Amino acid sequence: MNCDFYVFSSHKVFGPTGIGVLYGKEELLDAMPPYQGGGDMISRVTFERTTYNELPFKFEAGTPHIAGGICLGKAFEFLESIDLKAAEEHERALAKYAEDLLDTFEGLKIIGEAKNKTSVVSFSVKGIHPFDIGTLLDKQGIAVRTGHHCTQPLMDFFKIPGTVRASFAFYNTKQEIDTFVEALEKSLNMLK
Amino acid sequence: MSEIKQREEELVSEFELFESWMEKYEYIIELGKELPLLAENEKSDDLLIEGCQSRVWLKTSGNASTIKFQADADAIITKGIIALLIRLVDNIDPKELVEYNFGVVQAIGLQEHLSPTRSNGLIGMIKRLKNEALKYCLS
Repeated sequence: MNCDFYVFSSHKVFGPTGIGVLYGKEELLDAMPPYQGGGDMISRVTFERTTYNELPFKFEAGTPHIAGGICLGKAFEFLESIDLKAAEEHERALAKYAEDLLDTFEGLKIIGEAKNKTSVVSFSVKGIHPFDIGTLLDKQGIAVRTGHHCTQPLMDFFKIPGTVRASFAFYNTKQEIDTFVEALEKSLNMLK
Repeated sequence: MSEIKQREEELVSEFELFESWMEKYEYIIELGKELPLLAENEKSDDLLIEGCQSRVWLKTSGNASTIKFQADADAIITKGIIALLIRLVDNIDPKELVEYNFGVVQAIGLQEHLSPTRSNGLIGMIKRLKNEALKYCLS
């Protein structure tokens, strides 16, 4: 990828919450001053000068999130043990399957149709608030996210209060999408 | 028995008739549809209740002995829930409302809406109703 920095949260790769990853090119990280002081980030202190520790310790002040780090390592081991290409293909097929089914609903609009988007399907239904759909799906055991997803300007652009978003992972099945679509149909019937 | 408690008992016995979550929510949706609406020009930002994913406007009127509420929301379930609350506390002595603990939420099985992750603002609605009542008590 050859990027200068790369950042992500551990929970995006099935790891625990409260920890994340910051990758940076060594020369850039070396050139940067520490942003926080604390244990282990200092190599030597005298009245004349303070020498900071080497990478990565320079940026890891205080007691690190040890348990989180161990669990995140396990999450990576798990991800490396599976066929990621097959997982991606499966996820893509699930999103396509869901989108084809959702397309048959009257007044439903899929928001976000980028060619290489990840396996998420965000949609709005004309005249129905996403929160209402989310509440009724939840009552049927379907977990979706509703709201503006921290992108209010985008929602203003589409002139909608928010969307309902279903996200699929490689452990999901077509059968689960059928269940979701049935539950959605039931919810919309209740709200009309 | 206080007026609110009496209304609470009526509501609880009404909810006991529902046999499934669907019946309960269909009823809440109906209540939302029946709630008297606020005109578009009345929906000012100062009437908005904080902490709701959907937008809820609450308008209050009255005096030190009676308080009245009118509300609107852009999501129908939220509107139904605020309609339920208003049914309990509309046209009531504000002192009674200040002292009321909203035990009705548990009693009719809507406590899941109190979870912060639901962010439908039920807590915000209750706080606002009580604050408004307090203002009228002090007026």
